[in-house]
Amino acid sequence: MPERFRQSRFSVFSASILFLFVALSTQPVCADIPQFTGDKAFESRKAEHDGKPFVDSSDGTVRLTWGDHAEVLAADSESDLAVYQLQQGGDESFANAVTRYEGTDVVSYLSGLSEGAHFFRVREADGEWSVPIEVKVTFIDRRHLFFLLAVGFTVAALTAGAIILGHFKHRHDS
Amino acid sequence: MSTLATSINQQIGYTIIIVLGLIWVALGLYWGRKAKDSESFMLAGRNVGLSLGAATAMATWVTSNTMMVAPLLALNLGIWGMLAYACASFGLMLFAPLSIRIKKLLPNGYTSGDFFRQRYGRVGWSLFLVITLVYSVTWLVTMAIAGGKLLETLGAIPYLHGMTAIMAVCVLYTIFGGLYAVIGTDFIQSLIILIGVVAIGLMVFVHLDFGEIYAYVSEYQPSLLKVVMPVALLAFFNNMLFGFGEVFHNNVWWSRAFAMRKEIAPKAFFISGLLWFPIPIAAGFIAIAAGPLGVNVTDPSKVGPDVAEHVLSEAGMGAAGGALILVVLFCSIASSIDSLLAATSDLLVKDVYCGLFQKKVTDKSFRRIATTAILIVALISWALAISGLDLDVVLFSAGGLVASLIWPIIAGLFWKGCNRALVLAGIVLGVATGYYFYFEIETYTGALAGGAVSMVFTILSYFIHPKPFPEPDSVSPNVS
Repeated sequence: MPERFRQSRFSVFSASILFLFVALSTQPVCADIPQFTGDKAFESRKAEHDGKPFVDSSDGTVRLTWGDHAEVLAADSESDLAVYQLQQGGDESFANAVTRYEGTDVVSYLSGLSEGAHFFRVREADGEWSVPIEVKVTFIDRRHLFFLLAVGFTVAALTAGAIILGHFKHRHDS
Repeated sequence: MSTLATSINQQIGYTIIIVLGLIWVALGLYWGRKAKDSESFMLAGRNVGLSLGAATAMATWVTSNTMMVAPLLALNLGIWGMLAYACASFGLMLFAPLSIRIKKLLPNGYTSGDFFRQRYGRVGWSLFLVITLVYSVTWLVTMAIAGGKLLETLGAIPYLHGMTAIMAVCVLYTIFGGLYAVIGTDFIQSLIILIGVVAIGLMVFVHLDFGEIYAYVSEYQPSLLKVVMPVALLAFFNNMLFGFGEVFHNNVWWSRAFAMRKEIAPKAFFISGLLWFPIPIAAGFIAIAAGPLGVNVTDPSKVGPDVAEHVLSEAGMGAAGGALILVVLFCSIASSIDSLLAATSDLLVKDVYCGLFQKKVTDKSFRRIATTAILIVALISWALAISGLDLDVVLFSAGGLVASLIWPIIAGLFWKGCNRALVLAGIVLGVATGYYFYFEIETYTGALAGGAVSMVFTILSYFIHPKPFPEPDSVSPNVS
């Protein structure tokens, strides 16, 4: 490879790096917008909902994550950490939103949600809100429920009955 | 990341574990001197009285699951969740009449395996051993995980170190003292657990505003107060049957029945059930207060200790509060791990080594073989606990396994005969159905479905070609 050509390639590379550095350093600095994350199942449900975070719950519980919990645990002091606000709303407009958590954690486990759709969003300090996540709570079908309850009651009652009956029948056996 | 006034540093956490560990090991060595032959090592001389008997049954049943899964159930399922967990006490109470029958049928029995061998033959015995060993290891794994998570939460001790430390302490004193050490330490541990739970419960009671809790839960967690909370109602019956299956089949309880004096066993089991009933309700209530107290739950498995720590911090207890919780929970975990290690190793030695493998064991070689069995069980459980899975996932997955054994045990104890093949088919199908329901239908249906299928098959076995059970020989094979 000729020496001149090698030098000109080096100059182009250097200029590119310099341009990139200048371009990046002049970008306006903005706080990170937290986003809800999850496992593979979470990602696939998200994909099914046009990229919008979505979680199904059959018992009214949900674990919301928007950062690396291990990093929070490893932090030396709370002052090193960002403060987040988690809100819950009845719909995507968050018209009557309530704050469910405010602090440095990046995980929140919520329980007791009623049947139906619930929306959550999170932000860092006074920054921008995340894309909301929809949590859809659907309890087990009532017909299945009452059938299973009837089975449970029958098995428990027959079990207790069989033991008590067996005890009285055999209590005088030698 | 939040630092409470009750938080204890690693040094205090390790000190508590080492001091308690040394006490238990010293007591294990002291009581171990009484264990001169295999019968005294395994069954504490078959002479355990009422106070020790009731205390060991209660302490064994106050597991890490009681202190950590009961709050989790209350957090997830509300009022019904608390009651669902407390239902497990009915298993202990119903084991009282079963223990009378066990003592009559097998006055010289050693393990629950003896019963299955005699009632259901070699196939039934092998099937039982597979189920009970899988379940016992599952139970041990949940306790090891709970121990590790507890020390991580309260003492900032890395999960693996804490989990290993707890397992190591329990292994050591169980090896040294056998059932003598287990029952003796259980008595002391049950006193610490009772005093600690009452003390923590009183502080929580004094420092909580019940009106505020009700208002918060009604607004933000309405399902927790619902009368018809579907999952919680299922959990109620599922847990009850899980408790029945767990107590009725496991050698932990059978070995205690064999160890207690004849007239003592039923009273001890019934009293321990009564004493145990309010503990999960108290532990569960603490969890419901998490939201109103502003405690952000990050890991539901740890909600009990997290909220208790918060309340004691608010009460101005300082690091002593954290230490108190750690001591109580350490005792609850140790009292169950030691019992399970002892009972499971008994099964491995008497049923697997002597029974299935037809090896002869003398009193001289017994301690060496028992020690090896305890180490094997502990190592397998330790290896599986490294994953640190969610406690309830591990625990409730085994519901179908244990519930499938409820009716075969009732039939074997109280009936004159049955169709064995049908009963064993019921167990296999019950286990399969339990797992299917757990993974595919709903978490809290495994025990319910497994128990139902097995019950139907067992009842049918009474009517379709029943054959009388052989007379019990009451002696384990190859035991001298």
